[in-house]
Amino acid sequence: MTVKDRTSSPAELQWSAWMAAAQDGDASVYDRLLREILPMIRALVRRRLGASAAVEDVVQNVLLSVHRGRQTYRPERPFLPWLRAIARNAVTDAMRVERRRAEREVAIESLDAVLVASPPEPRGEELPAELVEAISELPDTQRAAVDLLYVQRIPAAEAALRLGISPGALRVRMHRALRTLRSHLEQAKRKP
Amino acid sequence: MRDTDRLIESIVRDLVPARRIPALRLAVVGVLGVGFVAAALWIGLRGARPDLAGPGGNWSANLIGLGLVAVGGLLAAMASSVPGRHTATRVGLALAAVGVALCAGAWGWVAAGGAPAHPRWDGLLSCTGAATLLAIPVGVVATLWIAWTAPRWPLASAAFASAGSVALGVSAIHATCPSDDPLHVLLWHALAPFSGGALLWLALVSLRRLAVRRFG
Repeated sequence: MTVKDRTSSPAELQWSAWMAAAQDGDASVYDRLLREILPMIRALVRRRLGASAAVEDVVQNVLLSVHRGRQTYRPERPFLPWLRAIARNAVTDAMRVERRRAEREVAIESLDAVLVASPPEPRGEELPAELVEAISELPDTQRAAVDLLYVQRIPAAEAALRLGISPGALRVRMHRALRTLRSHLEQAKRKP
Repeated sequence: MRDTDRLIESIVRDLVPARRIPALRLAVVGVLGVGFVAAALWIGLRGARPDLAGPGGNWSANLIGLGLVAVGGLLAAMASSVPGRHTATRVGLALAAVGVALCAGAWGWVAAGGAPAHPRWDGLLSCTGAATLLAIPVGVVATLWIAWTAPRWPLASAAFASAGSVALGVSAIHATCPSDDPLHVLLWHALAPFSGGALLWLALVSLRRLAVRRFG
């Protein structure tokens, strides 16, 4: 009997086996695992963030981190400390980003607010012409981020998954894209 | 909540088998093994000090200190890249701290007897430079591990890996370098994990970014 067998609950042992199967590519077991650990992740995030609106975003980031780091789980080790470490890191990241945003990103936030507050435009061609033009001039990586988040309105975690980058990298990409867009739009406004 | 369900569906839809990382213990032994092979080749090529059995307490304390920084630094680098391995990370950092204290103590002991005031700059290349070159294979393997895993602080993990690799390299240098000059040992041996490590860190950070971009 291993240390893991002695210290883990039956549910944890089950999750550990499921994660091992998921590492081997078993999608149905992986789906079951992610749905079973979801309430625990949500509770863990709520405990740290309180009743913040960002809870569900952070929960999604945790799921994404679990997925991106699934190769780091070793089946002979307990599952929960591994999962908790990932969740804790995601919560800490979220808190840091929130603090930084409050401190430094006021200007970008205001543009962010303008873009979000504008009438929901599910398709690119329905956006204002100058915005479409400014978006088309963005570098490919930034344009893809804007397209997924603002044009197709896909949640950040899923957009990060589609682009194959971390949520943090997506935030940086989006931050740069918004800065470029702002300067393009300001230049366009100044033109007679 | 619907978004979260959608995310799970996307994650599961795109699932591909993931190659599981080896056990941390095995990986650390493997990385240290690469370093020991490089060190043995260097010692074989240059020839060990004739008085290797015991040139003095100061020399031995430095060697043990550098060895601890090497093992501790590499353990911390690799453990800090795996979620949930906090204890192993702390053990690594503690070992490295003991190593640094030993080297500092050895220096203080010699300096109390009156250390020479003028360092010879040739040690910069022949000892620190050579140690940094010797550290490259270990540093590269440790960095590939960091790129493969999920480090919380990639830059810090790369820094531990750099310092550990150079400490391993400079341990081999220490076993072959004929100089007993305390200032030479301090500047070009004991401080090499920091000076050479900083240089190696720049290269390893770029290598990690490249590896992450290439292999995801």
